[in-house]
Amino acid sequence: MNIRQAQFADLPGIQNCNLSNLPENYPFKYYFFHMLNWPQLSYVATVPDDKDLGQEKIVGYVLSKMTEPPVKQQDQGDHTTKKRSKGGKKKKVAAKDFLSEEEQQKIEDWIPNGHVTSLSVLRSYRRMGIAGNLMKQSMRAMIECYGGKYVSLHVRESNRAALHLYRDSLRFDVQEIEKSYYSDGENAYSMILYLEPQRMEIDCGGNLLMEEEEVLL
Amino acid sequence: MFNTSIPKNRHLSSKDAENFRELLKFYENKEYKKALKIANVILKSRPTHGETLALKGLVISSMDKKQVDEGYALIKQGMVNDEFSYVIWHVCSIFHRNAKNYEEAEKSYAKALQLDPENMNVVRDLSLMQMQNRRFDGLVASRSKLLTKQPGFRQNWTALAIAQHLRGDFAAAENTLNMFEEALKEPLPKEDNENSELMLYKNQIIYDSGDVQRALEHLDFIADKVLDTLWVYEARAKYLLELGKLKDAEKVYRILIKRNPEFCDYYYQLERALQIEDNNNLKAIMYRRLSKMYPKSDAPRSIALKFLTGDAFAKVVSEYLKSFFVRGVPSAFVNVKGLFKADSEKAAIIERVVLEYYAELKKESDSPITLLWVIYFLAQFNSHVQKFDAALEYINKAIEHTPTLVELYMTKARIYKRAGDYAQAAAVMQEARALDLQDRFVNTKAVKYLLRAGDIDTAVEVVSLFTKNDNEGKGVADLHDMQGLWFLKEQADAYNNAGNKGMALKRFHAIEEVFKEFHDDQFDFHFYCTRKGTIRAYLDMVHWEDKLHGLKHYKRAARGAVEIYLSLYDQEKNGQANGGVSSVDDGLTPEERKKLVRKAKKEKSKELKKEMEQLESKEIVDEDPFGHKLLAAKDPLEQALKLWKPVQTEALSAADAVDAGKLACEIFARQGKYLLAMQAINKASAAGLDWVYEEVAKVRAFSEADEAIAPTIKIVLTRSLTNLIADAFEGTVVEWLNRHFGDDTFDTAEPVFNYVSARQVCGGEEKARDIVKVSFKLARLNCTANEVIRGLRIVEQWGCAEDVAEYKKLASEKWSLATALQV
Repeated sequence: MNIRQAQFADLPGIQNCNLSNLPENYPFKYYFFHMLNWPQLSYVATVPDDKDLGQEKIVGYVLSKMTEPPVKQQDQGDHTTKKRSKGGKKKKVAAKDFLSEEEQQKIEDWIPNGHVTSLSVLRSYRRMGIAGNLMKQSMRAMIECYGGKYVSLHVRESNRAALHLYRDSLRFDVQEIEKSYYSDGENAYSMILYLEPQRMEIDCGGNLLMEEEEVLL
Repeated sequence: MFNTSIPKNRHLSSKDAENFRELLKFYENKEYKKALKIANVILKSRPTHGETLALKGLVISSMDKKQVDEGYALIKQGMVNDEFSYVIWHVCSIFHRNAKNYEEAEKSYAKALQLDPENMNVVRDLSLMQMQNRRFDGLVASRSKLLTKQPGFRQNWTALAIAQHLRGDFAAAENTLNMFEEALKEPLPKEDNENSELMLYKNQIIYDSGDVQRALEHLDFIADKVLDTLWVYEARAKYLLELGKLKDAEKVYRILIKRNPEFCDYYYQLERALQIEDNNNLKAIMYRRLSKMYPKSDAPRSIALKFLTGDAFAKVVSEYLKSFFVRGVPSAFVNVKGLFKADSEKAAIIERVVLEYYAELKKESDSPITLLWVIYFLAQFNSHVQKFDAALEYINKAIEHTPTLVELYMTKARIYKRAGDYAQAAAVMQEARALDLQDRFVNTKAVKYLLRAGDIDTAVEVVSLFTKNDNEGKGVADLHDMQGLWFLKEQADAYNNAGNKGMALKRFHAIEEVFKEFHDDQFDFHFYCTRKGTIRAYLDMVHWEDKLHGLKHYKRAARGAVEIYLSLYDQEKNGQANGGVSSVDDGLTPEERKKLVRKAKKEKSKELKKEMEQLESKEIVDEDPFGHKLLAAKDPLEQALKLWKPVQTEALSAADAVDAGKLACEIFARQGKYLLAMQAINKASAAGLDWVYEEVAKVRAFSEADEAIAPTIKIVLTRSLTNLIADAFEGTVVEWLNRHFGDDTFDTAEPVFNYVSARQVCGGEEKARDIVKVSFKLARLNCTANEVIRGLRIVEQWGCAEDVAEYKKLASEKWSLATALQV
């Protein structure tokens, strides 16, 4: 078995795993969207494919993203505001003027945070700790690459196994119950975890000039 | 600027000109009805005004898909009336772009740009088409132009670098990024993710240029300024290993393992850094230590099981499996099954240690749950080695022990499936599903099993429990929308097995359509990613898209469809040869045939009724709801080639290319394109001559039967076949084929099917006898239930009633549960 960062070649397998495992499904472009916005955040669990020699089969995945700030900054790509036409500049100022105080506050309070869009492990590969491992890798990437301070996700009220994983193993807190969150009317636990690498036993960063490790061989 | 004044026929009165501006605005705001109205107002006074005609065409084609042809005709008419208007060419580009016809769109944009060279919007749109169509030379030109005009945007720099990189001009790409860095007045902050991405991208360019040493130096320079820590570690480890700095590489791989001890590749690279890949003793020590360091990790243990042998293997595998049994891990069996595929000794050892443990546990009575998982394992093991009776005995014992565990029923179903009793397998999987109706995984399994058993209606009913359903409560359309490849493929196979080739083709083409969507999906990101800055991921996507049709999901579907098209062609040809009467001997008794005809008629009238209903309703009509049009394709070979060609050009590996070449050869030989067929054979022969005997026989047979073959082609073909295989023309093609498929060839099912496929093409009096004789080997071979039943179908088609009875008798000795083989 392998746990590794997801690659594009994995996407049809991830989509397939999602579709055969969970009721919430997405078109392929949505997977593209995740991979092209936050390429470091999604992970897969694979095993050798016994029908296709040398190929891997996806048996679990986590698809994650960072949430966008409350109001999108305009023209993030532009680093030469001064050179821009007056019209563009005006627009920017105007947009800010229209924000209510509450909205302003929201922007000031906003801290970077991640969100787990979807996670699943094929039934026949459960109880090997795959889901927890996928989550840990994804959460570390949220911290390292995007300065994520917390991560949130939704769990079906009836999904006891998932609740156990997130609450008991990974120590998420239930923030609230969102009524009729799912399209079939089921409620969702909205869960949240503050990303504190040490408490979570995830070593982040590290220095590249590496001190001598114990030599094992 | 275009230096002629506005031609007379384009000029509009000030009122009409005002209206034309309105028309543009309405179109841009997607207010098509208003746009159409105002276009008609202009056309009333100026019926031949080209730009208005073209825009009207674009508007009506955007309003309704049915009006696309009509719309295009108007655009064309506009073009005739005013051939040098850039507006019309621009309109035409947008029309093609909307239709996702990027080739034509690129041409039109290029033409529009010729007429209006300074229009940067057109340059930008043209560059997107060039990217989609992988025209890198043109792309570099367009993006250079954009950068010159608008150097203040970071994305223009990145976009040019990408174009240069893709064109293979690494130095230019690097230089472009250097110039951008210099243009920045002060360095951007580390938190700027886009900047981090750009620096890492530059590092990738340096590495791709082949200068690993400089890539390493650059990586060290940017390491503390970038955010993607994992990538830095992985790249650094790779560079160090490639540069032979093994000590340093080792350190980085150990760090990577510490970060993620479940990724086998890190361990393999560590072996390389330590130069112990070929030393099993040292490897055993290394993995033992790593297992201790990472007691919860599977990777160091499972890797060691691959190279350990004998007692050492027995000891480790025993501990490994026991820990699964004690923890109740359902995947214990699948985690080791890869081991005994390669090595039968390991299978024996595994069976021994598990049986010993089983005996031990039976004596103590205090761990019933562990015992359950051991029994479960033994059931799976026996199923795997095709001891189905023993497997069933174990699994029934397990179910008796714990009657509520879904996994046990799923395995029981699987045993029946592997034993060839598909109906029973589906029934048991339905039981499993009933135990956990909320779990979609077991729902999916049940659907697959029902489809394998040929119960398509129930399968659709069951799958629709988790889909957004149509008015009739069915989720098949939703599964198309959701790109459910597994379902489309399984349903196609089910239709195919039931002889409904039309529906099978339809589903295979639906898979092709999904891949077209995968391909089109990239388009929006050509612009998006240069802005967002995630270039490395974007390039991964581009490379992945370029090999899209080499993916197994596409290949399987394309192969399924190609095989149907080939059979349609063969049938048609045989029919003609026999004065219109199909010569296919289906091996049925007259009664059976009558029954089939009745059934087919009933199906036909059902289908017809539904077709009429659909036509009457106002919804979007599926123009070929049962695949009849696909079946009636005039050029089945062309259809086949269209599907298969991309598999050849986008093959992911050499082995894939060989495989793709073989099927391509089948198509070419039938088309009379013998030299292309020969080319494919030559390529495939690199994998070994026995890979191509089947194809060589076919090409010979087809070309010898071809009266219209040109003499020069015949000479070239003969020469190249003899070059490849010296005796290629010794004796008749049948003699040759039988000589090369000797008795010792048929040690697995595959050569049997290859022989049968070639023998069918070769003719001769002994054809049926030969086919039946070789097919009989399947009854005794070590193969799957599926294969032995496929053998039965061949015997039914080519043999007599006694042959069928004899085959069943022989095969059912081993396959006592396979329903199809019961006498």
